[in-house]
Amino acid sequence: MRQAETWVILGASSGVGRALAREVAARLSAKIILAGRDLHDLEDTATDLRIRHGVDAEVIGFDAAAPDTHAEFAARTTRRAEGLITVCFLSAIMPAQDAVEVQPTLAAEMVMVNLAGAMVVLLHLANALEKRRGGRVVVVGSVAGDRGRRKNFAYGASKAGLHAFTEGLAARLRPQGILVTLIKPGPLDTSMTWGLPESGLALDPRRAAGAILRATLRGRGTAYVPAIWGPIMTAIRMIPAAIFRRLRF
Amino acid sequence: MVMWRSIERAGWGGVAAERMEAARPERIAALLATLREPGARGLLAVGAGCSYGDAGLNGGGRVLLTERLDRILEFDAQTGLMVAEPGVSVADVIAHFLPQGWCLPVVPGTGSVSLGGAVASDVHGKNQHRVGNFGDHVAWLDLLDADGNVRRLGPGQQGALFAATIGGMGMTGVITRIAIFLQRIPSSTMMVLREKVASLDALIACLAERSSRSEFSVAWIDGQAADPALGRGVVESADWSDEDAPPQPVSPFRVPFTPPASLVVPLVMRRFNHRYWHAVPDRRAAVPRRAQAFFFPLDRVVGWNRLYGPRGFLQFQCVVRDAAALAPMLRACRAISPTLVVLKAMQGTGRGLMSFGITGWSLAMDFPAGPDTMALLQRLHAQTAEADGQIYLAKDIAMTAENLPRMYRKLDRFRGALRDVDPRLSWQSSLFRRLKLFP
Ligand SMILES: Cc1cc2nc3c(=O)[nH]c(=O)nc-3n(C[C@H](O)[C@H](O)[C@H](O)COP(=O)(O)OP(=O)(O)OC[C@H]3O[C@@H](n4cnc5c(N)ncnc54)[C@H](O)[C@@H]3O)c2cc1C
Ligand SMILES: NC(=O)c1ccc[n+]([C@@H]2O[C@H](COP(=O)([O-])OP(=O)(O)OC[C@H]3O[C@@H](n4cnc5c(N)ncnc54)[C@H](OP(=O)(O)O)[C@@H]3O)[C@@H](O)[C@H]2O)c1
Repeated sequence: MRQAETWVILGASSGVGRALAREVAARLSAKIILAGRDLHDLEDTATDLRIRHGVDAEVIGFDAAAPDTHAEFAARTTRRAEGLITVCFLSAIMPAQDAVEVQPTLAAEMVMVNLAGAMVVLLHLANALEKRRGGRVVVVGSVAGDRGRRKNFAYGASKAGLHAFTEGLAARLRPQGILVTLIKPGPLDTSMTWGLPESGLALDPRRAAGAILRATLRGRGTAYVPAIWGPIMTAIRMIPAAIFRRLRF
Repeated sequence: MVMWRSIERAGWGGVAAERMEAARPERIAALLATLREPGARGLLAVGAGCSYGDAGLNGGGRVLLTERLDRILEFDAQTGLMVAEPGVSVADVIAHFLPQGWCLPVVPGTGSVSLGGAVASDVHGKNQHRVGNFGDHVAWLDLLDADGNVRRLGPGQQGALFAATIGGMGMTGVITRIAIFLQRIPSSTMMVLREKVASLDALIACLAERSSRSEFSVAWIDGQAADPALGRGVVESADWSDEDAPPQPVSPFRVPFTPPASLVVPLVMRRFNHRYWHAVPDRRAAVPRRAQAFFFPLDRVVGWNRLYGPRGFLQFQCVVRDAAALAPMLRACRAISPTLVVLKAMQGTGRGLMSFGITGWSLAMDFPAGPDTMALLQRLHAQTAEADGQIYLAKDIAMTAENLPRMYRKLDRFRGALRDVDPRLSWQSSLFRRLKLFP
């Protein structure tokens, strides 16, 4: 029999989160904890996972923007988990850049979820994983965090912060054998991009989920999804700042 | 705030693409939000887009794509009752439950159809003569009305609205949950018998005979054959096998693009027909086939509808009481021979006020779209009306509003139900406007 394990998906109601939960249930038959704010929706996904894949699935409320609750959330989650824990952080919001420019407080709300909330909950969970001397952490960033693009730099900034945090977290947890994987997706075909002008080439979240699971199980430090974004972002990162500043994309 | 994407869409036949704005809610909360932004031409829930004509379109209006509402929410292994969201596909249900000994009681000719679309068109399968339409197996439905209320409907719960929703083409609201009884099956294999029949009369006789004995029956007619071979074809009948036979691997073939000319189609479909005609062995014995291969012969060529090229194709599907009406219809197609012709015996009507089905014969024919195809369809519609038959709205793009009352005798009751549930005309489609379904 396979050793018991539990995947905790924060932001499980997201397009990618639901797909990842299904992928994990289908491939690993692990226990799955779905975390987020829309409990009604998460219960439906949990039922679906139980019926389709016969896995143990349960829902725990999680609000990234309420960091005071994260200690309790981490404690509850680790109590409910069995075996090796894999924590996946996917919660994020992406208000339009022009909306942020009109109403700058939106930037603060976004950082609260995408970065501050992520840091607080991941730090709590990292402590728990350290105590258990094992586990994995998966953080979903974005190609948008690799450069500050004119069209999306507020969101990009929250993801850049998340990347730096994740890199450091990986260094901290490595001695315990806890691997941290940073996923940097390109555009994905979810609610986040639906209706945006440049969303034509977006990747199916099921394929993204497959790639995230593979990268995690292989213990990759960083993985672009799909992989083609690796070389593209290498090239984009090499554009000198003096030139990048003039680009409108 | 709802994100709307401007999309251009045509029905499965690829004819008359229209521009509309689409939302794609992934959860009920997001679906509810769309109700506040109906736009000038109302909203329409759409499933997989398998309707051939304009049933799944709302040109100049807004549509709600249900494909991401795709969760199975309950299954009772004692009674077979399954509850699911509307975006779950027929193929998805079958793939999951077949190995456990359960099947959807009614399976249409493609697995892509969504459960929501299956209810809204009250679809039928090759066993319609035995088990009726899809809606006959529905225990209850949740319907989201334009005011944001979710109403649970069933035969004994708001029965009038239930009857208007089954086969109601999305005009009563969004079906958000479907509870349907699955059917116990002994295996995932069918024993399929194919018999070649040389004339229309013989084909009808054979199909009637097989329908009285087998669970599944359907006939493929060679659309190219003319008198005296008019109506020659293959009668296919099947029953569930008691045990599983070794599965035959089938590899899907994909049509990745729309070819520039519709030249290919007649050739490919002719080969499909030809293969059907000649592949039938002389032995009169049933052979085992995987259930999916039997249910979805066309799904093996993924995107076959694109083979018709940019002009697309039209499907005519009627049901008539008297088999005598069939030969004149086939003869009417001499100038434009149909690329696919399917005949099916039907028994009884569905539960819905607008359900397709009367005891008699259902004839479906595909035609490449061309300058004369519309005129041919009008002629076939007139023949159908004269024969007191019905045109299947899920396939239609050409019928005129005048024909509707004669074909759908409960139309007044349907309009009455719409007046009650949707006085503001919040739900609309291109078909709705074409057929003047306005209450
Ligand atoms: C290859 C092929 C074979 C077919 N074979 C058969 C067959 O054997 N028997 C048969 O009966 N039909 C058959 N059909 C037709 C098909 O079953 C119907 O057109 C069906 O309605 C398509 O479902 P859909 O999910 O694609 O819905 P769409 O085409 O997207 O929509 C169809 C209608 O359903 C409504 N609808 C969809 N979802 C909802 C919802 N959640 N709530 C309210 N309304 C909704 C739409 O408003 C629209 O009026 C076939 C179609 C194809 C392409
Ligand atoms: N879509 C893309 O193109 C793309 C590209 C690169 C990276 N990504 C990243 O991939 C991840 C998943 O994206 P997606 O496109 O699948 O997103 P999505 O469908 O828009 O879902 C966003 C998720 O964030 C959660 N969330 C928002 N606010 C929250 C809060 N205060 N507390 C807890 N959770 C909150 C939502 O949960 P509830 O509202 O239910 O609580 C929801 O699950 C995100 O990190 C995103 O940045 C996406």
